This record gives sequence, structure tokens and C-alpha cells, in this order.
Amino acid sequence: MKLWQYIARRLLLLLPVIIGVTLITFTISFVIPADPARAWAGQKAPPSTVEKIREEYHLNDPVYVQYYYYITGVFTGNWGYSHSEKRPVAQCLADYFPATFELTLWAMGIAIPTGIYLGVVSAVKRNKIPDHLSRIFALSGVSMPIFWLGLLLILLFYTYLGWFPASGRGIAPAHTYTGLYILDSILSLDWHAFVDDLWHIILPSITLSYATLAVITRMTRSSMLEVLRLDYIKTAKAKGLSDKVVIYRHALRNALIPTLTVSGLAFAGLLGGAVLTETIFAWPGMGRYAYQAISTLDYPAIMGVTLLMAIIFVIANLIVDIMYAYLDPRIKLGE
Amino acid sequence: MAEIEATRSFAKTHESQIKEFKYILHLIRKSPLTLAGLILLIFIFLVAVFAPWIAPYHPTYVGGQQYWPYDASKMLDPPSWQHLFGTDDMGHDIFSMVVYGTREALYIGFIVVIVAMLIGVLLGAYSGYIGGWFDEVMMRICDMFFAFPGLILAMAITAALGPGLQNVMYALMVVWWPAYTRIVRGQVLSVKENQYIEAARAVGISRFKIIWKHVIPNSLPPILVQATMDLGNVILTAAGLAFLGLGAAAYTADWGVMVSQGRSWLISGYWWWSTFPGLAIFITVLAFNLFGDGIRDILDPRLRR
Amino acid sequence: MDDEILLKVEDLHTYFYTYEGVVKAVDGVSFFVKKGEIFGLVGETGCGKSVTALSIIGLIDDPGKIVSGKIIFQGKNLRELPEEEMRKIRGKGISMIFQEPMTALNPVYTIGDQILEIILLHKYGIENIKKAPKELKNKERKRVIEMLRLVRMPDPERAIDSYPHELSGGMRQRAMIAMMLATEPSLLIADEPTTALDVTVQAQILNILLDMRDKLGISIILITHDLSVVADVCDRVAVMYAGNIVEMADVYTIFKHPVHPYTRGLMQAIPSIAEKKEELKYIKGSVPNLIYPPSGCRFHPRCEYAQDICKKERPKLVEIEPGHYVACHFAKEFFEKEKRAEGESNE
Repeated sequence: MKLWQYIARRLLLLLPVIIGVTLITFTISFVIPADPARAWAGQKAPPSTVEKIREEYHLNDPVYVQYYYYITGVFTGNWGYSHSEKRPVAQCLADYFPATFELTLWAMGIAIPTGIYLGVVSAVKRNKIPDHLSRIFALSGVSMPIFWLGLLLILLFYTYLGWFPASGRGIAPAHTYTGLYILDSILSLDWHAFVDDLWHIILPSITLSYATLAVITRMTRSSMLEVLRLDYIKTAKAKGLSDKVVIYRHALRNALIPTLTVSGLAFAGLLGGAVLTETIFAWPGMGRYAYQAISTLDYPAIMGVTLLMAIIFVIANLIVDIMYAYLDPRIKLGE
Repeated sequence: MAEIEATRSFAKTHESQIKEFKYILHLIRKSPLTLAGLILLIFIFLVAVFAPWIAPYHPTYVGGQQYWPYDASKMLDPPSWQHLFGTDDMGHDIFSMVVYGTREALYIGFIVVIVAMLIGVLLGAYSGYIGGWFDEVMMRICDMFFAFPGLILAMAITAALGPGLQNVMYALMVVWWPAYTRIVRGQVLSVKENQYIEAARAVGISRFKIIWKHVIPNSLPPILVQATMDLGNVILTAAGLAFLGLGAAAYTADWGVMVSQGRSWLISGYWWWSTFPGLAIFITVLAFNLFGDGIRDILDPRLRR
Repeated sequence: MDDEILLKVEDLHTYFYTYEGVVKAVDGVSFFVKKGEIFGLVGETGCGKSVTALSIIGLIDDPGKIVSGKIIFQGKNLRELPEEEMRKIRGKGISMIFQEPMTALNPVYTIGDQILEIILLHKYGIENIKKAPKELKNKERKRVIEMLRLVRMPDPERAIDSYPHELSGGMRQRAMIAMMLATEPSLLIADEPTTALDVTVQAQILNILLDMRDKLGISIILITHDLSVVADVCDRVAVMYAGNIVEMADVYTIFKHPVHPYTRGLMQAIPSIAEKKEELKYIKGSVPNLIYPPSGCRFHPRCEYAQDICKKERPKLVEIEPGHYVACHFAKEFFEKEKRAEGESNE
């Protein structure tokens, strides 16, 4: 089986998962005590208007008919109306998505290499000082409330030292190509914006990356420990290879396989963390949108963010699976 | 005489278990991080139990009407000997609130994990043992839940139910049960193939009895390790929800709420209101993770040497 | 005669410091290996064969440690070499193959890459095969195929680009041998190379080892618990028991005139078709705990001839006839008895 065939098949398998996801979000929105028709119409609207909306949005139909409209809405981009923003949810999400994407990308960029490196050091120096230090660092990462870490960083680097800004994404670049400020500022050669945006993303991306970094460190450590005991490591040493080559070429390549799976799962933490991080740093992404929606009881917005985050997470795991198949020759694609 | 005899025979028949237990104790002693986790946990439990004696002030209000010690001159006082962690904008003693907050954090953690675990053990054991369509449906349902980032799903559920501590706990239970179901099911599947289960079945012991007496006890250790680490995770997630304004009401002795409330003051330099409750969350979760992580390493024969 | 000796191990002690106590896995082992010979190291599981091998090549991991002794290879004491020098000997001077061909090859690299790696390392000093120039790789690729052909790998052009999981156990072990011999080392240590394989494949692998010795002129230390393997291919044999060598001689002597009670027990335990016995013989008792090994001669609790001296004094390995070494207080007496018995049976 070719790689693209595998990807196509996996994409097809994505469909039932997404339907499952919508089943859950649909059930949750059913629980919501507030009357959506009333929310759309506004508090002062006469009952006849509310009833009209009720008809229009099929709220009087049986559950399964409502679900049919719901899921067709999901697939056709009709994700409801966000009354806090006074525009469709899909539009808001499209606007806010790049900011969240940029932030998570940076956080991943920090977390993966650092986490792998620390995990390797920890495993190689098992039960020695570097191992203890890196374990404490990693366990702190999974134990640290992300919002608290963000606040401490703001306190130190904004309030006291004044090195970094504490809110927003910085100046918008001269032209918009991708919606990622830093990339766009480079593409439009807007150095002023580039420096400002870089300065703005440092604290939030560090805040967001710590927990993921910690998870990757721990996983790399334990899978390295497991791999280092295996026979082929002894073979590699018996060949006369230096420790560096044995560890990075022979052990790490194998240890990365389980680490990769965990990185996919850690992405969930990253998306959850994004909500908290964006709230603290007033980062105009989907997370802050969700926070704002919670405080204004904008249910379609909350459900929209939830659904989109779940879809992103599912796709992230698909990418992980594909990389998995690439890294491990024992996995025959499609089996 | 009989007692000595009994002890001796106990020691004899349980020789291997005693040896194993001693070995585990030895490993805990040799692993400073696990030991640190254990000591921290004991400390945290003591604080929760003796909160009224440790806290110098009542954490919130007395008699439903009056904040105490409400004192305009005490608003946002920095840490001092009188108020170890300072005061909030109503003049509450933050140290007292943090001490009482321990009770709430542990309460949330234990109730959520125990309920999730019970649901998981029941459904997982049944699903794994029965197999067939029930198992298939169960696993697909779990998959649906796993497709969500935990905090996001909990956020959506709590938002739908309406903010509040109870609803946060319901939401966390909904988010956490599938993980246990899957672990237990996996354990059951591996235990099921063992000889003694086959034997029990051959002798004609009922299905329920086999699950209850043989399957569940044997899958317990990994579940308990998971539960230890999850206690920390649940407390952390609950604090996150409280921070987003979905948890308890303002001025409750709840760590997440306190960090959230102190947040706007922190930027202007009133750092203590958010910092100390946050530190309490961190230390508590860290303690559970240190201990759980250490125990997992110790129980994992592959990592032993 | 001394110039013939390739490897000489003198009074080697390798201990493991574990929770239960110090495991004296190898406790005073001495032997030598001549150029071009196949030297068998036999004994039950856990008697210290593998630890001896790993000590020679310097790959004893924590919590193990070589406590004392000399390992003299080509006139150099390997224990005194810095790690960097030792690395140059591993894979080039001394190679080693392991029991489990299933797990001894790295699953994520092709057979060809894994063989190429050792060639590039020792021939050109290139550690990272990704950085090697293309022409060099193409040139050495021919050498790899040649090596695979030498170990009689079926379809070597295809095997070179296969991943280990695509090959059978026997083929993997061939690949392993090809890899470890690609640099033409002077000594190959083969730790139970055939134990995990089918009987028919075992014979093929042993034949390849014999072949390699003849073609490349290498010495081989063959570690095994299987006496029939020893009888098939070895020139000389050392018998290990509980961390000690109890007897060492050429293979004919060991099988025909074993002297040490343990060796004799082993020989009697071999089932034979010629004389069908009511019951298979075995050595009474079990392998001792190496944390608290028996005092004196470690075999004495299981030895039917044990006397007081056996409990008190550790017997030394002494040469009782040219080339025949035995560690037993009564070696001389057993030897004479054996000779007499043989004399009688000849008459």
C-alpha cells in the first residue's frame, strides 16, 4: 500500500470519529438550560418572534431531526450564531484560528526538541544528578497549573523586569498571507512588526509549552530506558560505536516511536492549555474566544470551539499515525 | 502459642509476598523523589484534616452576613506575621483560605476519581469479560470521548450545566470514566487468558463471581497507580475550570478561584493573592505525581534492575 | 608456543552489585585462546559464560563491574586501555554475536546499512553513515554483498535492503555473522549463536562459523550449553561451573577422559542411542546461589567424592597432562584411575 492510499483511507476513517464527536457536542448543547431561540431573539423580543425563530431553526422537531440539521450544519459550515460577537461562529473561528495555530506551533517547537533532549539525558544518566534534576523539572511541568505559570512569568518579566509585553499578539504585519503574524511579517519584510510579534509570543509560548515539554521528557526517558536494555544496543556497542552514536542513532530512533504517540496525545493538553494561556495573555485566539463566550453565555461559540478543537486533535493524531508508519519499518501501512 | 504458630504459618505461606513488599519498601526508600512525594502527601492530608486548627482565621464569612475579619484597612495587605500570605481585596486572610482550600481540592480529586474509577471498573470489567458487540460499542463510545482534549470537553459540559463546583465535578467524571474503562478492559483481557480463570470457569463458577473475585483484584495495581496520578490531574483540571470562571463562586476558599480573582491585581504588583493558592495547587499535584510516578516505576518489572 | 596465543584471560573477577548482595558471577577465571582455533566455553545457564564474554569485550553494564584480573589480547591488557582505544578493538579486533538474532539487529535500519556502518567505522573512521560520501558507500556496498554471500545468505542483493523483520531467524543470524566479520576481526565471540534457532538451521550456522574460521583464519570463542555443538565444531573446551572454570582441554580429551566430577557428570547426562539406559543420568542438586557461593570448591555440595578439604580450600586450575587443566583437589587420583580403567578395558 502506498503512503497516499494509506492517508486517504485514514481520512475516510476520520468521518465516523467526527460524527461521534458531533454526537457528544450535540448531546451537550441539548443539556444547556438556556433557550437558544430566546438567546437569538434577545430578551426584549415578543414571544411570536421567538416562536418564529424556533420554527426556523427546527427547534420544535424531534431530536433525530434536530441532529440531522445539526450535522448538516457542521459539514456545511453553519456552526450557529455567536451573539457575543454578533456574527456567525464559523466566521469568528476562522478569524481566531491562526492566532491559536501560531501559538501552539511555537509551543510544540519548543517542547519537542527540548523534551527529547532532556529525556535522553535523563535516561542515559539514570539515577544520577542530571536524571533527578530533569525528572523534577518534568514532574513540575505536569503538575504546574498553566495559568499560574503564566501569571508568574508576567509578574517577573512584565511587572518587575519589563522585558516582555504581557498581552496581545503585537503589531499586525503589513500584509496578511497566512494569518501567522511572525511568518507574515517576514514575508512582508516588515521588521518592525517581526520584532514586536516575536517579543509578544515568547512568554505565552513558553507558558504553553512547559506541560507538553514535561510529558515528552518523561516519555522519552522511559522509552529510552526500555530500548537501552535491548540486545541491538549491545550489538551497536560491540561494533565499537561511540556512546553518542549508540544513543542517538541506534537507541533514540527506536525510542522516538512511542514518544511520538505521546506527543500526539500531549497535543490535547496543548489545546486545553491554549484556552488558559490565551486568557492570561489576552491572546486573540480561539481559547480567549471560548473564555469570553463562557462569561457571556454564548453557547454556540463554546460548542463551536469545542467541536473545532476536537477535530484539530483528531487530525493531529492522524498526522502522528502517518509519521509513526514512516518511522517504524515494521508497520506495514494499512494493517 | 497458637498465635505464634499462626504468625509463623502466615509468614511461611506469604513469604514471597512479604519479600516483595519489603523489596518495594526498599525501593521507595532508595528513591528520594517517591519518598518526597509520600511525605508531601501525608503533610497535605494532615493540613486538610486539621484545617480549623491550623488556619488562624475563618476563611470566608461567618453567619452568612459578615466577612471576617472584614476590615477595610486590611485590604490587600502584603504578607506579614499577622497574615502569612497577605490578604485579598476584602481583607480575608489568604493563608487561612489556602489551608481550607486543601479540603476542597482533595474532596474534588477523590470524589471524581473514585466515581470515574467505579464506573470504569464496572463497565471495563464487564466489557472485557463479555466481549462481543457490547465491548465493541463500549470502546467506540470511549473513542468518542478520547477525541476531545479533556479540559475542553469539561469546559463545554460545565458551561452547559452552568458554573458551580457540583457541575465541575460532574463534568470531570464524564471526562474521566472512559480512561478507566479502557485500562480495566485491557487488564481484564490479559488476565482472562490466565490458567486460573480457565480453571475457575471449568469448575463452573458463575461469571459474576469470576469477575468480582478473580478478574478485578488482579487488575487493581495498575488502576491504583493511574488513580494516584489522576488525583493530581483532576485537581489541576478543576483548578483550570475554576480559573475560567466555571467553578465555585468568588471568595470561596478554592485555590483556582483565588488565583483567578487575584489575577487582575497581580499585574499591578499585588502578587500574593494569586501566587500562594497557585503554589498550593502546584505542590499538591506534584506530590501526587511524584508518588504515583515512583510507584509506577517500582511496580513496573521492566524498569527494575 | 606463546606466540600462538591470541587471548589470555587471567584470574578474572566480575561481580554484580545488586540489592540482594554481590553476585560473584565470574570469580577467578583463567584461560587462553590460540590463533585460528574454535574455543568452546560450556556450562549451565547462569554459570558466568556470558559475563566472561562481555568482560572480555568490555561491555559489562551497571551494576556489574570487573573487579580484578587481566585480559590480554594481542599482547595488550584490555583492562588498562582507555575507552577510546577499547572502542577501536570492539568490532575490529574482537567482535561478538548474540543469542537472539530476533532482537540483536536494530529494527529500524536495513541489514545493509547496519553492515555498512561497521565497515565505514573501522575502515575509514566514519561514524555517521549518513555523512559518508556516496562513492564510498557504493564501493563498500559491494563488500557487504560479498560478505552476505560468504555467509551463504540467500539472494544477498535483496537481503541487503531488507529490514530485520523481513528475514527469518537463520537469515538474521547470518546477517549478524556477516556484520561482525565484515571488518575481519581476529577474534569472534559467539554467545549461544544457535540456541534460538531450529535444529536444521543450527547446523547451517555452525558450518558457516567453521567455514569462516577456515577462510578468514579467525579464532572463535563459542559459548554454549549444548555439548553436541561443542563436539561438532570446537577444538578446545573449557567447562565452567558457578563462576569458575573446572576443566579445560582439547575436545577429544574432554569427551574421552573427563577428570573433574562435574565434567564427568555432564558427559554421563548426554543421552546416547548406543546404550539405552533405564533412566537418564543427571547431576544431583542445583546450581548454587552466586551471592553466597559454597565455600572451598563450589561444586562440593553436589559432588559425591567431596572430602573436608573441598569445603575449606578452593582448588586451583592445574595442568595434569600437557594441555589438560583441572580444578579439583583429587584431579591426580581421578586421572590415574581413569588411565588405569582405560588400560584395563584395552586389555
